Parts: sequence; structure tokens; C-alpha cells
Amino acid sequence: MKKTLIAGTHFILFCFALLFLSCEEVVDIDLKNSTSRLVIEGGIFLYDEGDNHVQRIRLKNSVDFFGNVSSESIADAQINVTDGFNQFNFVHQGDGVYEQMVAAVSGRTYTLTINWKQQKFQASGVMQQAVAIEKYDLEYKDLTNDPFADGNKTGYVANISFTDPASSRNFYLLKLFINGQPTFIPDPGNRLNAISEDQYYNGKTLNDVEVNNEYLAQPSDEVTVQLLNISEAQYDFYYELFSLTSSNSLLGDPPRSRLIGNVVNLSQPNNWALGFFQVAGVSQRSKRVP
Amino acid sequence: MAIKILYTQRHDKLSDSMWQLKNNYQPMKHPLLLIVFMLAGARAGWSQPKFTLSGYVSDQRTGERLPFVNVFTNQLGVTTNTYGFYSITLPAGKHEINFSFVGYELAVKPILLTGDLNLPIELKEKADQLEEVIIQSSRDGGVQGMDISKNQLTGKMLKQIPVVFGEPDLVRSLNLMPGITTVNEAASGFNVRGGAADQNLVMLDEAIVYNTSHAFGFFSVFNPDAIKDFTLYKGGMGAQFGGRVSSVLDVRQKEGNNKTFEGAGSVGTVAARLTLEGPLGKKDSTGNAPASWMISARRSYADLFLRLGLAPDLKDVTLYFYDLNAKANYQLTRKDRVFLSGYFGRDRFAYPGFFGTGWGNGTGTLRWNHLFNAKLFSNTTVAYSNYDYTLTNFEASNGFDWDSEINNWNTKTDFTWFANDRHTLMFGASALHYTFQPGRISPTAGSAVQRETFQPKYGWELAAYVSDEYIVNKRLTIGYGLRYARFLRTGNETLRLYANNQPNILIPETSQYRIGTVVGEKTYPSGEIIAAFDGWEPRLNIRWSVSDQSSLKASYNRNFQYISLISSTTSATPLDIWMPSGPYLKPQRGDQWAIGYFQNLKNRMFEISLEGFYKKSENLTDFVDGANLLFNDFIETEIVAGSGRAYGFETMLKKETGRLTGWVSYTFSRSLRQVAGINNGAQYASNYDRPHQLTVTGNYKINSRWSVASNFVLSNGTPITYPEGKYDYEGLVVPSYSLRNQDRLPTYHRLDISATLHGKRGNWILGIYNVYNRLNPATIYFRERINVSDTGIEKTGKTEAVKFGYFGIIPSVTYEFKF
Repeated sequence: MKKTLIAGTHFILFCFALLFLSCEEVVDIDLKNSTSRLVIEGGIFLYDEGDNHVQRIRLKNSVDFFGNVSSESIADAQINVTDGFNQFNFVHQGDGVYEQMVAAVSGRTYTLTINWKQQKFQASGVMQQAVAIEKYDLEYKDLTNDPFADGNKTGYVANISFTDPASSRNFYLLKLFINGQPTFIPDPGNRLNAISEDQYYNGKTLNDVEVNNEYLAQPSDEVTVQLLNISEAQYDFYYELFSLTSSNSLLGDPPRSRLIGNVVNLSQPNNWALGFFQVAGVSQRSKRVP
Repeated sequence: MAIKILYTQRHDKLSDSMWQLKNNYQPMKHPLLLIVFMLAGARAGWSQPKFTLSGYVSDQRTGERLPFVNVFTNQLGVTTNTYGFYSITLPAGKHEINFSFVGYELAVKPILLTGDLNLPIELKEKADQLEEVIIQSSRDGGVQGMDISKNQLTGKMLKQIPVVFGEPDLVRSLNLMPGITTVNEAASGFNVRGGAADQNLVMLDEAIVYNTSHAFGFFSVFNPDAIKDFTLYKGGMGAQFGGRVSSVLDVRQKEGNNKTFEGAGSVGTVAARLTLEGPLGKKDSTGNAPASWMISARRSYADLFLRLGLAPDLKDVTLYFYDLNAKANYQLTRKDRVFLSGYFGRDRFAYPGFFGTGWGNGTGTLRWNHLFNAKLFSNTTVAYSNYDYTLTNFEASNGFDWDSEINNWNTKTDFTWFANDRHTLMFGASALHYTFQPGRISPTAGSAVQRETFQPKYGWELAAYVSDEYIVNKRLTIGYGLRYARFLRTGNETLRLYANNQPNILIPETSQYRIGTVVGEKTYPSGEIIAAFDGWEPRLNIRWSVSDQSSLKASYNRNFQYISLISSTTSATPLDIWMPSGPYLKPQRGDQWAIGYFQNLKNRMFEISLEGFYKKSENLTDFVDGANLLFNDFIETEIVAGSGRAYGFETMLKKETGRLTGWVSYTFSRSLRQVAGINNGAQYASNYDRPHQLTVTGNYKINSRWSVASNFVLSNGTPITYPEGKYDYEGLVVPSYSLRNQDRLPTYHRLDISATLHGKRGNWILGIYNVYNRLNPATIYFRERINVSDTGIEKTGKTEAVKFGYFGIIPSVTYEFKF
């Protein structure tokens, strides 16, 4: 969302300035502590188009930092979600993914309960309407002369237009999927491009906002964009998530701290869970590169 | 060259009784009594038949006034004040007055005192100056000086220390002193005895300097050619200083040669400097002009290299910093002298069509020295300081300028009353007005960005102080003082109101902070007081001369700090956000106790010093986990107050004369913090905690043409947080962190060398920074390995630890010249 975002553009600048002098090398570090924690991914989404009611929640364990896998799936948990009227019990489908059909309703509070290894975890969020993607285009780019471009130098960048509702404070998360795969890469730019708040454009129409323009789609790629109307808490979570994965410490090494989302361990508060139970309105559009 | 300061043993009854009173006196509880006592004490000598000898001491060649010069008879000794003025009261009759200052020839003036006498003195620089390197001013905290925890250097001494890129640098040289560290090689500012960088009061000609960094912290803003001297008080600062809890760095610019025109300059690896100075007006019989001026400029030129085409991609990049220093003074009458000085410095970095940033300090100082009589000296100062930065996004569709600023006006008046042979009083008052402009966003033409201005904040800092340096007897001198400061945060400003007055709430279950509930807003009209704070700040210095060659000293000081620097990073960003105290941010309070032993050996060839200190601070700001500080108008929700303590001891062996000079210092210290909600409320190491620190610095004069110098630094790495695991989240591999600062970076060590070839017109200085090319990490970061190729960005899922450092081996060449 570089086109409208105001925050933090200086970061890239610093790294550039320091490039002249600085150096880095991979080192072996002995990590004293290793603690495994429950990670919650996914949530309940309200789509603005289609009957997309299959909701997915994925559970996994965090692992040793230098371990060979990036997490381990959890298959033996009980998950249910209530909306104040109904209870939805989720069923494990394999690979730590639990599914259930939930037709989300705007304004309802969704509460997630997980029972796992004699511990009870809970999280909740209020559903908001999606903010519609009004226009979605794939634009051809040639970045051969851009010193900041990584990866493919030519390809298609997704851009969208949408109108921010004037009556409410809105927070957005922009996701890009290529052939169904998420495209976030660890990059300081995520904080600027993937999340946004309407403080500086409340009520305005934003045109041609680029969605993860680090990634250039190639011919025959299926390119899906999602505009999520998220809560402030989820915005803060992603801000911190993107900080912790902004591998470039030239930027002034953001403070490293626990990243606790909205999931609370009611049984053992100090054994906190990671990840976030998302409750959000989503506008989703797909296109295939010709 | 031992300086003996002898005092008469005689006590009069009054001062004896005062001593009794003093023993029972509790300074904290009865501030008024303190003042009464000081005035009574000051009267004690008036009945004696004595006259006062006074005047200015200056450099014979340049007319530059010399501070801290020892002025002594066989009975009594004083030193010149920061403006080079002395006043000594002696019995009528014959005296031999000695004027001594390291690096200058001793001047001895026989006088017959039959009435008050004005005696200006010019000291001549030692002819053998080139034969040895002087690292010590006569009153450098050592055995004879009153102050503990003080380091002092002149601009000239600064140039003798090897530095990165061969650019002499005040802050980098300070890092070689015991008890002074930086977080990393590019961190802005410096840390004194485990304190934060914003806890240092940095003044250039009495105007506050808010950011001491050039080029993201690689250099400091002080041009060594424009600096006359600087003094760092790590503790035990006098009552005339206030407003920061950790230290005071008092930097003074050259006044300018008032005898002849002269110039000096240099061309170095990164920057060039040029300084001109000279007299103005008709010279008097002694060859001194009534006025003089100095102007100095420095500019870096990395961008000029880029433009030469060494890196074609970067030829349009703007990348430079510059400084302009200027000062002029005019002797209005024999009793009045005015000084006007200014500093303006700026950094600029821009990549065309993309981003730009710039930042800089500006200061201006107008001072008026007035002598009421031979015993009463006054200085009145009006100073203005400004720090601002801008960020520019040049992209056409959504370009904007972001700028932010802090500035202040400071008016103050200070008196020194050389009351009698036992008491020197200082007293004064100041009024400082701050304007904080946290941020303004201005869209460029055709941009979709909205114009936005964060609310400015305003504050007044008012202070008054009185102090006395009391020579109790031959062995014992006591400096004691009291400062009172009051801070007013004033409108025009609208503040958020929170339920229970809590901008953030600690959730005990998860030991995490949540933003408090906003219950409303309150608007304070212009000038209305939003919050007020005040406090008494006692100061105490004691020196006990064990012998002529050794002394014991102790000090206590309390300081309040009413503005804090809010920064979430430990690194070099110009994006300083200063926050005044207010309803949600209490003033910081610091208390420090120090004790020291100083010993001269071999006729002052060596000095040994040992100092121990203990510091306690309250209301230090820290950040909640996951704080979001940038572009946030409600920072109170992101910060919490905690307490800190630091303790340690510093040892130093200095060799001050001879062909080989230098020092070895070893410091052990800890700097700890405790904040509810951070690390489960347990004490943890601050970002500035480096328990062991060893520095060796030496300078050897081989012959009249060559000298060599070297530094070696060894210390613990700074604390860091390592991950306790990892997990993937929507395709990102995320390191999982737990408690803060539980680990430590690898040990830091570095060797620098330099060689100087002294010529008639100029000197060549060859230097190598980090001789054995060790990559000392500024940080270690943890990330997923990404393979970037022309065909795509491949996420490997593999994690790695990456050591990141700023400087490998850096050679440099500098040519310095004079005309």
C-alpha cells in the first residue's frame, strides 16, 4: 500500500545510507532457552461476494529457532466458535487445519475456545462489514532499472481501488496470494505496505493502491487480492509481526518483545499463545495473468 | 610541576562556629537555612584587612581567555572561572602570585598589595609543546581540583586521539573515558554511567544541543577546530546545571584571536574544515583588539565521490553534512564584554524520485559578562536552540513532507561572588521555554496524502540556585548548593482523558499492557497550566587533601529531568521525539553518590584515580511490548514508567608528561531497570549495560617530526534479546521472543592506530581504525533465509542468525594546515 501510506518510509532510506559501510555475516549462536507455544492462525471472515462460508483455523506449535521445520501441526485440540446464538464445532481436516461452515454476520461477537492438553484458550472479535474492492487491475511493470527491486524484474503488480467509510475509524490488511500461496516476505516494507489505517485518508477513495508490489506475477499466475477490514488490535498485531520479521536491523532494530495476540490462556496465563484469532470483513478478487 | 595549594591554619571564631552549625545541618530538610548559612559564612572574612586582586587570564598569542587556570600564592589558591576571570583576596603587603596552566609556562608576578588591584595576565604556551602531548588540563578532576567525576579536554587534545575516518570527534573521544559508552558504533549520543543518551545535558556555548549526531551517528556535531574546550560532568555537577539526570557536557567555542588574523584547515577522508579568526578594532598598548571573531565551517563530501561516477547507480544521491560555527566578542568597557555565537549544522540525504531526509541543530547565544566589582562577576545569557528533521517522499502521486521540531529559548543570569578567602558563591536563575512540534505532514502537489499536524506542546522550565565553595581549612573544601526547578506544561493543547487517569492498563494475567479507556478530552487554552512539577535539587562536593599529592573526594547530587526522548530503537535515527512531562509522564528523578581517590605519582608524571558511584533513577520511560511510537499522537499509551539503578567503579592510570602519554582505564559497572509489566516486573539489564570496560590510549612522540597514537578498547557486548523459538504465520517465519535483554552480544574489542607527520605549515595524519578488521556486531538479528535471484524470491523456511556491524578496517589520511 505504498501509494497511500505515510509511515516509516525513512526506514528504507537508512538501510540505503548505511549500505556504504556496514557489513553482515551469518553466525552460530547458542540459544539458551527454547519454549514451545501454541500458535493460532486463521479466523472467521465475512466475504462481500460469494458464498464463501468455510472457515479455517490452524493450530501448531512453535519450535526451536534453528530447527529444520518452521512449526509442528496440532491435531488433538477441540475448537469451537460461538456468535452469541450458535456454537460451531470445528473438525480437524489434517495438517493442523480445523474447518467448519460459518455464515458470518456483521456486528456479532465471535468467541473462539480451544481445549488442548488440559488448557483452555480463548479469543474473541467483533465482525465488521467488508470494504469493497471497487476496481482491480494487473499492471505490467518493468523494474529493470530500479535498484531496490528484488526477484523478477518484470511482471504484473496487482492494484486495487476502494473507498474508505467516512463514518468509522478503519484499519486494513492487504493480502496477495499467487496460485493460492501467501506472498508475505520478511521485509520492513510490510509495515508500510500491507497494513494501513485511515487516519490520513478517512472517507476518501484510494485509487490504484498496489498490493505487495515486491511480487511481480508471471503469465498464467492466478492472482488473488484480499482487503480485510480489521480491528485496531489486529492492526497492532500485524504491525508488530511485521516488525519482528523486518530482518533488516539497519533500520534501528525494533524492540524485540513478546508478540501476544488476542488469544488468552485461561488455565496458565504465563504459557501464552502466539498468533491471532482474526474476525474481519474481507473483499476478495481474483484474476489470472494472461 | 606540582601545584601546591597551601592554606593558613588560622580560624576565626565565627567560622568555627559555622563549622559546628554545618555538622548538624541537614540540607535536604532545611533549604532556607542553607542559604542563610552560606551568607553568614560569607560575611566571616569581611572584618579582615584585605584587598582583592582580580583580572582575566588569557593566551599571549591569541588573547583567548583561559578557564580553570590555577592562581595561587604560598598561602592561597583559586582558579579562573569559565570566562577566564579570577579574584583572590589577600592581606595587604607583598605577594608572589603564580599563574599556572598545563601546556603554558608558569607566570610569577610579584606585587605589593595596598588596595584592590586589577591584574590581567597573559600566559605563554610552552615552547616545547611539540615535544610532548598534553592530555591533562590543570584542573582535570584530579588531585587538586574540587570536582569529582569530571573529564575535560581541549579541542587541541581531541585531535591527538585516533578516530574513524581520521575525523577528530568529541563524542568518540569521550568513549575512551571511564564510565562512558555507546550502544553501538553508529548510535547517536553517548551513555554516561549506565544512563540514557537523553539524560545528558549537552550545551554549546550554553545553548542546548538536542542531537549530537551527524551521518546517522558516525560523527558528532562538534567541529574540533571551532571548539576551545569541553567539560563532562559524570556526576557531582554544580547547582548551576540542571535539567538532566545523568551528566552535563559543557562545550565552549573559541572566542577568536584578538591579536592577529589566522586560519587553519584540513582536508580529510570524509570532510574538509576551514577556520578563520582575527581581531577587530584598534589595538591597545598590549596588542589586544577590543573585539575578535571566529568562523569555522566543515562539510563532508562522500556525495562528491559518488558524483565522480565511482558508483553509477548512486551518482544522483545527495549525502552530506555540514557545520557552521561563528563567534564574535566585543569588550565594551573594562567591565563589560559581550559575546555572540551561533552554530548551524545539517545532514541531508536524498535519493531522487524516492526519499529524502534532513536534520540538524541550530543554536544562538548572546552573552554579557559584567564585573560589578573585583569580587562580583556576572554573566547573562539569552540562548536559542532548535532541532528539526524532515522526511520527504518524492513519489509524485503520494508525495509528502514530514517535519518535526523542538526548540527553546533560554534566559539566564549567573553570578560568581568571590566573597572572601574562604567562600566563593555562585547563584543565579533561569527561565527556559520549550516548543515541541511532534510532526507536520504536508502533501506535495497532486498527492493523495492529507495534511496533518500533530498538536504542538509547550513547557516552561524555571530554576534558581545558590552554591558555595567553602575552604574549611588547609585540607578540607566543601562545595554545597541547592537548585530549585519548576516545570509548567502549558496549553494550547487538547489532551485525552482516560478512565482512572490510566493511558494504559497492566493486565496481570498476561503481564501485558492494554490501552486505557478514553473517556473524553480536555482542551487547555494557550498559556493555561496543564501540569506543574517542582523539586529541590541538593548538590554536595567534598574534597579532603590527604597530602599534597593525594586527595579523597565525595559527591552527591539530585537532578530532575522534565523532558524525555521517546525512541523505540537503540540505533541511529534522527527521528527524535522529545516529550515534556505532563499528566501522563512524570519528571525523571536521579540521585547519585560518588566517592573517589586521586593520587599523583613521580612529580605529577602519573595520576591514579579510583571512583565508585551509585545511581538511582525514578520515572524512567520505557516502552510497552509492541509499542508503536512513530506517527502516534498518543504516545502516553505506549510508554510506562520504571526505575533504574546503576553502580560501579572506575579506575584510571594516566601518564601526563613525557614522550609517552596516555591512559589505561578499567570500569566495572551495571545499569539495571525495573518496570512493572516488563520481564514480569523483574530487574533487567538496560540497553547500556556493559559490565567490564577496558580502554588504553597512548601517544608517543618519536621525534620532532613524527608521533604515533593508538587506542585499544575491550568491553562486554550490550544486552540483546534472543528468540526462544519460531513459528510460521501466513507464510512468514516469525521469531518468538520472551523476556527482554536476557542475552548479550559478543565481546567488543578494537585497536586503532595513527601516525602524525608534523611539518612547518601543516601535519599529515595517517590513521587505521579497527586495525585487525574485527566485525564488532551492533546487533544480531534472526531471520528466515531468503534466496533472491532474477527469477524470483524464494522463501527457504530456514532460519539464521546474522551478525551486523558498521565498521571493518578503515584507513584514513588527513592533512591539516595553518596560515
